[in-house]
Amino acid sequence: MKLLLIEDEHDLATAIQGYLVQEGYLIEHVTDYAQAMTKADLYEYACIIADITLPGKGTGLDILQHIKQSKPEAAFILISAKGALDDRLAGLNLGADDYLAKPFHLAELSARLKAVIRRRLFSGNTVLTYHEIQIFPDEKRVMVHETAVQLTRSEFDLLLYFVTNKGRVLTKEQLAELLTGDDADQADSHDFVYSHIKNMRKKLTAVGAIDYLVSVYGIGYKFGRTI
Amino acid sequence: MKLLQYTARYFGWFILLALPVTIGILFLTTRFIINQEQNELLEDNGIALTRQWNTNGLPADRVLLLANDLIEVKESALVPEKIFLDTTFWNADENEYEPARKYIFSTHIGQKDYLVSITHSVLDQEELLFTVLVSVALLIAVLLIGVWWFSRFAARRLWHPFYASLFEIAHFKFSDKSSLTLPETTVEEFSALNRAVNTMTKRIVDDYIALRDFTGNAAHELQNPLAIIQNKAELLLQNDQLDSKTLGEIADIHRSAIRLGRLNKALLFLHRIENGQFPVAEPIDLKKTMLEKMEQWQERMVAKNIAITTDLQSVVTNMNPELVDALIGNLLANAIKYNHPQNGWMHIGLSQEQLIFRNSGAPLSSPAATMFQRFKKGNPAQSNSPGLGLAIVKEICQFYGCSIIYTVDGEVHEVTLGNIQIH
Repeated sequence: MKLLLIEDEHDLATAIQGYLVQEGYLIEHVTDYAQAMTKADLYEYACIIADITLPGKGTGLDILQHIKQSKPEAAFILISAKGALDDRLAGLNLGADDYLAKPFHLAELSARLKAVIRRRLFSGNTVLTYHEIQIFPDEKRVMVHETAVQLTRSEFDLLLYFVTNKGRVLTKEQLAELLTGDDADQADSHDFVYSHIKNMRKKLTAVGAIDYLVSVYGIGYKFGRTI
Repeated sequence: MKLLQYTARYFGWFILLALPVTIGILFLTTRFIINQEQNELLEDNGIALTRQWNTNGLPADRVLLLANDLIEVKESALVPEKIFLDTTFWNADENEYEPARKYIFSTHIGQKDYLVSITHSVLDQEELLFTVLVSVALLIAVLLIGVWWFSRFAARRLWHPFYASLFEIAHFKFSDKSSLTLPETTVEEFSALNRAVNTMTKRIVDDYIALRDFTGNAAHELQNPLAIIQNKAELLLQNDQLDSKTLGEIADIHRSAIRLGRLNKALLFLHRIENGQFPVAEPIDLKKTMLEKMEQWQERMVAKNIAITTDLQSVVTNMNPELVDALIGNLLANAIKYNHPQNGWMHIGLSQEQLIFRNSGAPLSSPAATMFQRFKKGNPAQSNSPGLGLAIVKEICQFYGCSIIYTVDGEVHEVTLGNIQIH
């Protein structure tokens, strides 16, 4: 699957590229408006990831506006250092599929990217399958061996995050941030994450799922066990 | 007390003191002059009587009333000095005593010494004195009160530019961006004061704006490098060639980058409130936002087993949704985060007048009022949070003109927001 990344910060772009290439995407990277427009007009992309602030004339929002007219089938994710709600709303109003404020987690970008493409290509009616675990993201439902598993919202969010970032090391901070947003800096938020992971594990193994979660000592967790 | 009142008070004391003294002096001098006049009159009378008695012989009565003067003649060998006395005089016609002046002198009539006394009523003179005193007192009183009133009036007029400047200074806000411009006045001292204050505030405002913009720009410029550090660390964490010690250190870098990112985000948010970058306001039901936020924090409250009670009225206010979200979110988050680790309690009260968060929690290590300062933490050991939550809350309150008070009574913390209805 081909992606276009429009980002003027070279180091950031290589980090994003490095992470997404491992996910199996083909990524083309440009650094300004003019290059982006040329590429976008010539080729087809599953998703375009654009920074709002770009050097020279033309912002990520201008690119978005143009793409929405010429290639409405491409998914579009905006990233911005501004993080203001206005930017976010402006982007979403212009037809962006998602918006991420810098700094963001690569795992978060990857999860959003997958969700956006899933929504685009399969109109959302998809099942994420990991061995015996089936996740229905839009219905917030989980099945294991045809048995429904009742997960709380946090447990479901964790499982979905783990499955979309399978094989990746996710830090405790990252997971705490997923569940509690900006308040993840609290000392008790790690206990909170831990207790949710424990409950999620318990519920999944109770219906016969294999425990795929590996804890990485001192760092966090990784989902996906090579058996 | 006002400066004007001080002047008026001193002036008042002066009048109270000066009025009786002036009137006393006036009384004594007038009285002295009148007495002198009377004495001369009585002496003249005495000389006239002696002359008459020497010619015509003494009258048959030794006590007689002559032209309203009571005259007594006694044979006496004593030769006293001339004596003038104040006495009273029985007026049979008016049936009352009247003030009188008595003149006693000795004289020589037909080989014999006599002591003669002439008592003359001074009622008319006393009345005159009284009338003069009263009118003069009235005159002085009117004059003094007039001067007093006029000086008050003049002072008020003269001090007007001062009070106008004071009002301007008191209502001056740095966040309004414009510098203070106090007008020129006709009074040189006030003009000089105004000019000095103008220059001073201009410098302070410039510094303030420069500092604020610096914070904002710095925070904004930090976003990209922070994103790079964080994302590179995340990339490295996926590298299975690295040993666990290196991975642990990368995780530390990652954790710090996240913290820095959050701190930066909070600073940017504060900066945007200060710059008035949340102009759009819309009617918002605070109760609805509160219930949404409580739902969002439900799991955390359950995890800490916090007993929560609420008394929420529907309150519609006109604010920016993002700011309301931050306001209520931060207050609720604080009430949960800084509550006891287990089995604490919390009460939220929302009425048309105020919003109250009351909760249990460890006592503060510094005064409650300082909790609104940036980077101030209630209990430094307890958290690694940057301590910007309440600063953001305070900034939002200031933006909308709401009052905010934080009180602590042992382990009971209470944050009260007043004036929450904005129209």
